[in-house]
Amino acid sequence: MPSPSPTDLGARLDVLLANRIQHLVPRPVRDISDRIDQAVQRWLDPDSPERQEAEARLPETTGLSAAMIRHVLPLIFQEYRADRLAALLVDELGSLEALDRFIPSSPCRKKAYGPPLSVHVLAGNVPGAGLDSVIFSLLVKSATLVKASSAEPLLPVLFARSIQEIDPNLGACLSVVSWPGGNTNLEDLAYGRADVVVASGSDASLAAIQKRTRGTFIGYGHKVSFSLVTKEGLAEAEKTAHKAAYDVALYDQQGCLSPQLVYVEEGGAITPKEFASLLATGLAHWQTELPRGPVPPEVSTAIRKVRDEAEWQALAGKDIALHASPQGTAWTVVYAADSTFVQSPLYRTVRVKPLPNIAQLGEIVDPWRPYLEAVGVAVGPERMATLADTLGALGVSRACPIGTMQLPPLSWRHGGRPRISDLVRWVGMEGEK
Amino acid sequence: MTSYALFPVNNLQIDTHVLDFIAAPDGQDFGTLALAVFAHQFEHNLSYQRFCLAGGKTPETVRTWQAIPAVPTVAFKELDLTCGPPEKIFLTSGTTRGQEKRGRHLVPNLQVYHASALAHFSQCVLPEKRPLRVLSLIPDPETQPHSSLTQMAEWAMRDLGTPDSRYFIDADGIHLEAFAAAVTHAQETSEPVCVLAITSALVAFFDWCAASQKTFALPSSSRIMDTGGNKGKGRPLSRNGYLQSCWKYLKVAGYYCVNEYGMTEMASQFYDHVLYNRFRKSNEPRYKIGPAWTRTLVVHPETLEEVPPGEHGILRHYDLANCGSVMAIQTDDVGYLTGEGFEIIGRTPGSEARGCALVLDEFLSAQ
Repeated sequence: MPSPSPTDLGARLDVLLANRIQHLVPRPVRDISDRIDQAVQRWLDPDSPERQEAEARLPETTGLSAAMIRHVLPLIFQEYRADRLAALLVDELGSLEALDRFIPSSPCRKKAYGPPLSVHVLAGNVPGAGLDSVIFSLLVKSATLVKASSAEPLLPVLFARSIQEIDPNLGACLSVVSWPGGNTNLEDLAYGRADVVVASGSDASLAAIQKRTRGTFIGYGHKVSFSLVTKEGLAEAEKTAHKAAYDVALYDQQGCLSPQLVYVEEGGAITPKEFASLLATGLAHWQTELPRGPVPPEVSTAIRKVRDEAEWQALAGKDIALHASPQGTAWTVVYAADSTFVQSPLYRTVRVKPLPNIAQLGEIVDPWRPYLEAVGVAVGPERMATLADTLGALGVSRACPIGTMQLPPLSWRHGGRPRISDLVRWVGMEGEK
Repeated sequence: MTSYALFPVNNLQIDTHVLDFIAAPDGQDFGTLALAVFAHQFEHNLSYQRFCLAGGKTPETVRTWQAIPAVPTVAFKELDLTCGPPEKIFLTSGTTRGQEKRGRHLVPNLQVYHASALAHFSQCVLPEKRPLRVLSLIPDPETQPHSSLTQMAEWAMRDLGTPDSRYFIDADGIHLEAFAAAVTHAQETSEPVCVLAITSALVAFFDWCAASQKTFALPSSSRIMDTGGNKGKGRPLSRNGYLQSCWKYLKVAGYYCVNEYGMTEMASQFYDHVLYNRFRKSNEPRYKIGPAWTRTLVVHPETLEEVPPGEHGILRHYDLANCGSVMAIQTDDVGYLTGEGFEIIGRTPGSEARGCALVLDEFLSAQ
């Protein structure tokens, strides 16, 4: 996708803002969400042209295997249905109509206003990441400019096209562009004019974007997630391991919700070391169902390094077990007897470590506190609430059953922040009879 | 061809064979001695033996030098890989954060190390065999007692340099003004010098020159050997930018600038063959060559199978001079085979994730 010139970009923003006044501001929210729902339905239909095109082209732009793309596309879109969008609006704004009219409130009525112009900076190649913000932006009647990642602009472009075809007026309030990061002319223009900039990326790129933003800045930095298998989870260890392996395999472990490490509580039906072996079986299974995509040499090298280190630590007499895909680096499980949180080179490389006691978790993950995102847990329903509370206090923004880490509900507060109410400002009306 | 299998292998004898090879490589057969060294290491280096047995490799099943099991550099952090009591222990440099364990290379016989290091250094950096004054921007032995690079610089100065050779990095740090004075002295006396430098130290000197608006002109035949590239320290500088600075600030032309690539875990080093080529009147493009007692393979990082020349992969070195420890070393360095040698593209690149999961480099840089 060619970069726009600054003149083009400025003109495009003018048009978006004019179209918003004409087509978005007067439109009831329910109508917008119905139209989005219609576009999403196309994405849920395996025979639709957009699905076909995405399935054909995304493997190359994302580096994920064709089987993985086929598998994740419906998962990406399944939450963006009208009923769930409505529930989220009610949850966050108190009413489905808060953006349409002054709604009753005590002691006076109030109305929510979305930002005239919002810019969404999508990062990385996990397909669909950031699409939620784009949809929320349209819902709050904001003219929406999407800056897609230059490596993977395809999915946002195809989705915008779906909206355009369903409803050209709504489509006229959404525009997808891309330019290589660091183009300060374009960035000063876009981020300087936006009322809200929503960006995801590394801490460094977020800081660079925030510096140029004049309005509100909402950043989603890179994050770390992990899995936690309790004693109860070990009662059906094979099933749990299979689900944990699914969490690792999905998106080739590239998501912020992908577990980088699995903690296994000691004292259960099997040992953490035995669980590592089951997890390896699980990853071998998913490799046949959802093969990992190709990886660049430096990734293979980084994975080899993890394997070599484990192998030599085992030779040196340490309590380490290495399970690795027979050819290549498709998947790797390393069991280590210490509890230190160690990062993974990703691409289906995961360590299993024992957790003597849940109470120790705080100390173990403390250095990672600002980066913690989700924890997939295998625990009985009785202990879930206590455990979630423990995790919440540690700074994670999501505790979910193992096997569902990549399937967050629409209502999840990504990064611990509200999704829609962060975008709006409220106006109270007093003195009414 | 000598059949080494006829000899009982003990440390002294294997060392003698390797020293003979280094002294007169012509007509020697690398493969035969390599297999003898492997058999020796299998027998005397028990950690290595366990590693070989885990992979089902023994001197009986390994028939070619290419099949000798290669040890990843990370192994040197976990186990002492040696065939006998060490005469000296070299340590890999710790990371700037000091979080990583340092690797240990235990060398039972420094004589072999010395012979290998100087023979190839001499061929690639001092092919005319004329002693030069060595100006070292490599730290002195007091500052870096466990550095194999410092050991090499020390030998080069002592055995191939003139008596007035000296270090410009010591416990007090880098002495740029003293270095500049030595350069000026060379300029005035028209005596060519040999600069040995950590790349980042030389870049610091260039920056100092730029800041103080100074340029120098070393006498012709002066040469610069740099090592380490720019990893982690100072401002990044491309190879071309580096060569341009060598000319701009010291008037040393590219064909007198030799980049060294070595590692603590190996007794032999690799050098750009530009100066060696100039000496033998060849104008092949720049790449790295190893001495006759080494071989380098490039393997695919996924399959670990050999890749054809030109194709990128990770470097695996076989070094007979490592006869006292482990001969076959698997690096994480990405490169490709070319001509009679290889070129290196990057050293230990971090894994760059495509998605939104935090990767280690980011975490560390945020700390």
